[in-house]
Amino acid sequence: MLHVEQLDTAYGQTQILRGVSFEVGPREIVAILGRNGAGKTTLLRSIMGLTPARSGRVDFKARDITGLPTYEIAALGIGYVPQGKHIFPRLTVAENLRLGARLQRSAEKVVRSEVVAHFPVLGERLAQHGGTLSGGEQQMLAIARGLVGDPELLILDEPSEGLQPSLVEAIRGIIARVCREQGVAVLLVEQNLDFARALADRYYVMENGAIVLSGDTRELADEEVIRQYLAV
Amino acid sequence: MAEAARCLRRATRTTSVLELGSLLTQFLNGATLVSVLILISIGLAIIFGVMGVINLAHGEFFILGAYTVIAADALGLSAWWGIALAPLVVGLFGALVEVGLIRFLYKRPLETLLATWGLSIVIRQLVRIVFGVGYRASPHPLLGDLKVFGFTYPIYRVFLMAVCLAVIVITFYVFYRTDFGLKIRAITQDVEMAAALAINTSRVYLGTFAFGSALAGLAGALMTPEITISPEAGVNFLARSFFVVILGGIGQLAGVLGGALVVGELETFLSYLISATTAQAAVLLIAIVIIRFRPRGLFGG
Amino acid sequence: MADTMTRREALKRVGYGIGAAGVSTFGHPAVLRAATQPMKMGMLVSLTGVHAIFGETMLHCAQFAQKEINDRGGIEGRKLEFLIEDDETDPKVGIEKARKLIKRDQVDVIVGSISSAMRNAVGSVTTKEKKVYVYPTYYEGGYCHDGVFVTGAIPNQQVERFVPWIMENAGKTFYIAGSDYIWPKETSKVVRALVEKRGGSILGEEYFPWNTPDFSSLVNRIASAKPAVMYSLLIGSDSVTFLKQFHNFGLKKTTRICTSGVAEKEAAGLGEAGIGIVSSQSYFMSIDTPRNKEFVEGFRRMFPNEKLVDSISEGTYNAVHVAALALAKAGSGDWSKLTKAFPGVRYKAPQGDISMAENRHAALNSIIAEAYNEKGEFRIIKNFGVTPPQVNCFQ
Repeated sequence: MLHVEQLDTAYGQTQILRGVSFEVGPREIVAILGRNGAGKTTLLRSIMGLTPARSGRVDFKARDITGLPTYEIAALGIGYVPQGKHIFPRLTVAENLRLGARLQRSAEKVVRSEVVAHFPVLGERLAQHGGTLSGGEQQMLAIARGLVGDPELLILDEPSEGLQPSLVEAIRGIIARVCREQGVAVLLVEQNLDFARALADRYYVMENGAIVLSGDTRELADEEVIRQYLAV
Repeated sequence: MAEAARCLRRATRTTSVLELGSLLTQFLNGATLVSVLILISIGLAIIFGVMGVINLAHGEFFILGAYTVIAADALGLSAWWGIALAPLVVGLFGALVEVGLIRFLYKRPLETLLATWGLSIVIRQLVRIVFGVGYRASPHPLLGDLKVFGFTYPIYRVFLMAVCLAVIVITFYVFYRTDFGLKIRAITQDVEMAAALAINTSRVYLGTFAFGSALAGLAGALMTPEITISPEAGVNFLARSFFVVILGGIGQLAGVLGGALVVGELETFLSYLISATTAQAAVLLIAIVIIRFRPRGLFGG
Repeated sequence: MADTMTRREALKRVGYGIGAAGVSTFGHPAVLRAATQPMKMGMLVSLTGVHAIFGETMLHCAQFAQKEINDRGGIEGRKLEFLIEDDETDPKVGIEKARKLIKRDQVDVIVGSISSAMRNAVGSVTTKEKKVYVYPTYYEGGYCHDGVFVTGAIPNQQVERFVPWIMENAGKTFYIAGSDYIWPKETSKVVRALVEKRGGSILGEEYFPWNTPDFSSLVNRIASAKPAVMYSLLIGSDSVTFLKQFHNFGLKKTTRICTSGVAEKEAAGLGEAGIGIVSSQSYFMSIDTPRNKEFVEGFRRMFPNEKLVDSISEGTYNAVHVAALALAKAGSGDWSKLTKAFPGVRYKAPQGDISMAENRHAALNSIIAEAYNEKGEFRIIKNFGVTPPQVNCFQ
């Protein structure tokens, strides 16, 4: 589904990604783990074309998407939920969702869609401006917006960041349910190991812009690995 | 001192003649200026709000609208044709400018400033070459008065206000009731996220720049019977429009209306009471005071 | 006369011969060498900025005068050469360019510029450097400095004959509006004195900053004051904007527009709104004399794209001819000889005969005319002939 090969990305003179290669299969949930500054967010931005890669190649659904403008990449069926939510603060919840549905459907249809049904709290706040929602509600909205366009791949950048434990659990549950139900593949960047372990099938660990380890999340219990690559 | 005494004399004299009719006339005079300021400033504000581009050639787009009427007249078409064609001609020109110039300068505000300033000089020179350096005039499309209960006011000015009102309604409709408007508002708030939701940002930029240019062109065409038409005439209105946009709050549609209302009505009423030179200085001073206490403008958050 | 021509021809041939043979001028008498070199005149005009509207035609008129002079053998056998500079409608640039013309290009005479601010800027340089400056535009008068000569009209020439005519033909109640600077204010003093002396009254007098976009407040005050005459001293684009709005409010039906600030170029910008405006100038394009016909036709042959000539451009044309005559009289560009040569110079100008007075200003014609079509053309109402300049030095 998503195939990344030898991706190099730099901000000016500073090299961020060094030959990153990995893949996400259909209906698969893959987590990218690593400390702050390992290059995880840059990796997602490079896939989305927001921070264009210097070299390497990204294929989505067997099509080369390297160098395409962001809107074309998104239009191929990728939902993107960036770090820090990035909901539109002065648009209503309903408008945020309509944009998520790529303006293909009317507001009523979007609001009544199966996906949105999984986020009951949003249903009560449809006319409210995004900026007036609480942090947890904003994250719900960001995820719902990423899913409501029926993507084949959902990219999530630290969805659990800054949320209280009960909300983290709720969000995990929703993502798991919706993605399994709709058959959406997920590329997840996380620092919360428990969250990633509970959600993902496979994992990659990044350090200094390169992938240093990968495997099945069920096998991700080795204390040594955790201490070496992930502990703060 | 002498100036103050003269103002006072003028003020006392004025109050005696300020009956209802002339008060209404003054209000309408102000409203005409407000309308024109709105027509020009809306385009400026939208282009800045959506694209982050400060278009220093906006005054020249206004002038191109006026010269569209002159060209239509030269081709034997009426001023109405000129007014109808101006937004199309200038909107198309704006689209070409976006594709040929502005597009390469996104996210580079200083370069954009320089480029649009250069563009303004190029347009002025082109106008000089095509239409000559001298003042131009075209026949007035609608001379005459509107008479209501014995009160009269030039009908063309009423028409101007009506067009401005229609443009405001259309602009607000486009912004708040259409998908294109939703895309514009999304881009204004978070351009990366908008792109990540498959919004074709360059197409929206193109549409925005063309729309803003078209409004400037319409304003220029509408004002041909009321102002001096020369290649240099744009600068004058551009300065006031920047003033309106900053006063109202940058990037705010409602701010444009508020800013224009303050600048236009204040200037007109003050220049009725005191000398025009003092009035224009007073408006500037009041605006500076407002911006001092509300740095984000009257309607800025 | 034939004798001098032969001498000039001979001198010219000598000059060309030297150039063609590539022989140095070494060994020839100094007089002969000087005589073969061109006379240099600096043209300082606004070719960009808001005054370009006037500046371009000013330059063309000057070039037409130059061509006439050189076609007739130059100045005392010496070719008249122009060095052209654009003051960009900015006095600071005007000062720089005037210095450049004097120091680098070594001109003896500078002709040009349109506004009072620009004249003061250029004049400050020429007076200090002891070079002659000829200012061709109508202005407020009173600028008295050695070596600065004026071929444009001053208020007494524009207004003295005009106001009595207005009071006889249009009415005795006046409203005055002008641009907020010295020319309108000084002209207005003269108008006011003449009106009040003859039992008329001034109902209002106002001044407006440059680039006022809306004059409707003024128009409404005029409407309630109901004067017989609106005397406009607004200039340039402000004049056009105001007069359009005055027309649009329908006031031309009751109030006559009289002005000394509108000529062909402004009227062309007014279109139908200009019809009926009465203006007082020292020149109008429609003067019906063989001399003016020759001028207009010759000018259009040289510059086919130029449609309108006005008093400012004719003043520039005259300035070049008058300066050439003074140079011929003085025999050189030497400051003390040249400044003494100007007074008494007489020239058969397109407007009629003109002459330079002792007070450095020109005796010019006072003509009133009415704009009669939307193309900016005027019909002469009355030509009062020559009015001597009354200069009361104050600047």
